[in-house]
Order: sequence, then structure tokens, then C-alpha cells
Amino acid sequence: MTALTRRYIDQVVAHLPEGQREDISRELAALISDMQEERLATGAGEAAAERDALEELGDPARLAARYRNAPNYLIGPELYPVYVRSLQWLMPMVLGIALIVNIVVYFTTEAEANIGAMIGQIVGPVISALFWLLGSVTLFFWVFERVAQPRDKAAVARDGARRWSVDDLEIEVAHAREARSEAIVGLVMLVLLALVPLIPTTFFYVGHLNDGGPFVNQDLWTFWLPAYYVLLGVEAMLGIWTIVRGRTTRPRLAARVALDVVAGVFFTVLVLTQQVIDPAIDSGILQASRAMDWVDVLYLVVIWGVVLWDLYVCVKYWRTLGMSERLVTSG
Amino acid sequence: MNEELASTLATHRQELRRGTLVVACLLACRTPRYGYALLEYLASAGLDAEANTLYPLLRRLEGQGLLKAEWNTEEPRPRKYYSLTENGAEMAGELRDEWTRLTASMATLWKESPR
Repeated sequence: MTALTRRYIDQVVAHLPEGQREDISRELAALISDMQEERLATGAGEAAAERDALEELGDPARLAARYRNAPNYLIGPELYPVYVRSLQWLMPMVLGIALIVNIVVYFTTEAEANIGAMIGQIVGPVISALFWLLGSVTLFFWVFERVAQPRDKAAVARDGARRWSVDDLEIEVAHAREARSEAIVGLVMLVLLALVPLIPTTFFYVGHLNDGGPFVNQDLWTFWLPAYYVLLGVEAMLGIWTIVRGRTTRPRLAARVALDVVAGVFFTVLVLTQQVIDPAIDSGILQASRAMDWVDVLYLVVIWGVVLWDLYVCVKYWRTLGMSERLVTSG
Repeated sequence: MNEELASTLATHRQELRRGTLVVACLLACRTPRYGYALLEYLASAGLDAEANTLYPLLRRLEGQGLLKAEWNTEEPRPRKYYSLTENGAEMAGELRDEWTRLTASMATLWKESPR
């Protein structure tokens, strides 16, 4: 046996359990000799024949992996659905707990509570909590994939996967649940938006700029802010309509599209013609940093980005609604 | 055939052949054979297998108790001969029957399908 073959075999068995090394070494040595002999018979030189044989056997690490029958994946198809499901359950739970714990800790340890500082202080721990969860769940399944017997894996897959029954096909129920939860999230967003004109600057550490008044220019109360609340009110009524009806309908989608366009135009005119941010703040930072030129552009990009996104969502809904209606009428 | 279809075909072909090597090994090992001889024997029957697939597979079948292995040191080059165990013979029979059933099903489908 040449040094080259010796090295090849050593590299293969280095990845294998102690007890199998001797046996596999001898078998591979015989195999390589046989392969070499076959090539010599076709007129190849000694060294070329050996090289060719070894190249056909390929990467020693891969050959060893085949001997070990080691899975070359992290989590196999039996456990994968269970893995995903575990994350779906645990992620929101850990997120909620991490948020609550961190907020409570912040308010109990900080003498002068302040939203901006709080967000700054809890974002890091919350994100790392989620990564810890992701890492440890993945690690758990990775190890389980390798130590569990196939029988146990099949059992876990059976118990862990959500049991499906024909009742799940009740489209109305599923749609209602989806449409309702989406509408509730929407209402929460509306409440937050309604608070925007009222938030005082002290909340974000910049109270010195305008003596703790709101961020939004208070002169806008003559027309623009009341109109803003009317828009939010109409949006909220649409949301409540969805919650009551339990499903999204095409008339409701049409109303939503119309409202999107109106809101887009409203905000465009607002930012182009009015002083939205309180003038005291405006002269304080924005003008000092000569940011005025691109600030309007930024507003418009955000406004129409949101509007276009929502229109896209509406189109998607419109199509799926059309699809199930067609199926129902043709069936 | 374009490239995409060709690669789809390659995938399906590989899926189809995946289990056949095991059946072929079991059937071929009714006569004791060492790895390289088995490789040549399969090739002569029109089944091309690679040494780096076959050798680990033989060991696995040995581990499952379907093949037993014995070193023959009488020849100038010592070789490991694999032969069927009782369990292996039984399983070879089962798998061969399965194969026959599949062939019959395919034949039926082929006959019945409109050209």
C-alpha cells in the first residue's frame, strides 16, 4: 500500500468509531487495490491508476459520513413540523414574558420613567431572549434528531403535529377568526395613531425644545387635526363593521381602498401645505440641520409606502374572495 | 429536452432507484461475494452502483442482521465476503415479491392508459 492510499484510508477512519476502524481499513485497502488493478489492466500507469481510484471514491469525510449513516441535515422531516409548532407557541409566549418582565423591572428600578429610555433599555434584552429561545429549541431538536430512535421520532411527530379534521375546512369560521383578529390589531393601531398629536415631547427626552408641549403643531386644531380624527373615526367604523360581520367582504374592501386613497391625499396636502411639527422643535433641530429639503420627501415616501402596501393587501384579499366565490357557485 | 426538465427527470430517476440497490444487494448476496466482486456482478446485470455507496450500504445491511460478513484470508489479498443471513433471505423474498407486485401494477397502468 502506498503512502497516498494509507493517508486516504486514515482520513476516512479518523471520522469513524474506534471499533470499526481496523475492519473498514482492511476492506478499503482491498477495494482500492482492486480498483487500481482494473485500471492497470486498461493500460494506466501505477500512480495514475491509484489517483484515479481514490478520486472515484471521493472526499474521505463524505465517505466516512456514509459509513456513519449520519444525517446531513439539522432537523429531519418527521420532527420539522413539531419544531415549527413549538416555535409558534413559544415565541409569542417568551416575547410577552420578556416584555412584561423588562418593563416591570424598568419601572421599578428607574426613578424618572421615560418611554424613550425604556424602549432603549428593553429592546436588547427582549431580542436576545428571542434568540436564546430560537437557539435552545433548535439545539434541542438537533440533538433529539440524532439520539432518538426512529420509533420515538415517529411517536413525537404523531403527538406533536396538530390533528387535522374535516371540520378545519369550515372556511367561514377560519375567515372570521382571521378577519376579526386583523381588525382588532387595526383598532389598536388606530388608538395609537389617535394619541400621536397629543404625545408631549417630555416623553422622548426632548421636553426642553418646546416646554413639554406636544410634538404636533397645535395651530392645526382649526381644521387639520379634527379632519384627521374624522378619518381615524371612519377607519375605526370599518374595523368594527368587520368585527361584527366576522368577514371581509368586497364592499368593505372597496371602502378600505377609497379610504386609503383619501388618507394618502389628505396627508400629502397636509405635509406640503402645513407646518406639522411644532414650530419650536422645527426651528430647534430640523432647520438647524438643514434637513428641511428632504424631510418632505421622506414624509411622502412613508405616506405612499403605507398606502400602496395597504392597496396591495386589498388586491390580494379581493382575489381570494373572488376565488372562493367562484368555487362555491361552480360547485 | 431543456435543462430544467432534464434535472427534474434526474431527480425522479434518483427517487425511483433509491431503494433498488438494497434489493439488488440482498438478491446478489445469495452467493457469498466481496464488495468489489458484487460491484462488478451488479454492473454485469446492468446496475451501476458506486463503490462509495455500496460499501457503506453493505456494512449497514450487516448491522441490520440481513448480511453476515466473513474475512477470507486464504487468497493473497484478504477480502471480506458478505452472504445472506436467514433474516436477510426472508427479507430478500419479501422485497422481491413487492417488486413483482409493482411491476405488475406498472404493466397494468401502461396497458390501460390511452396512448
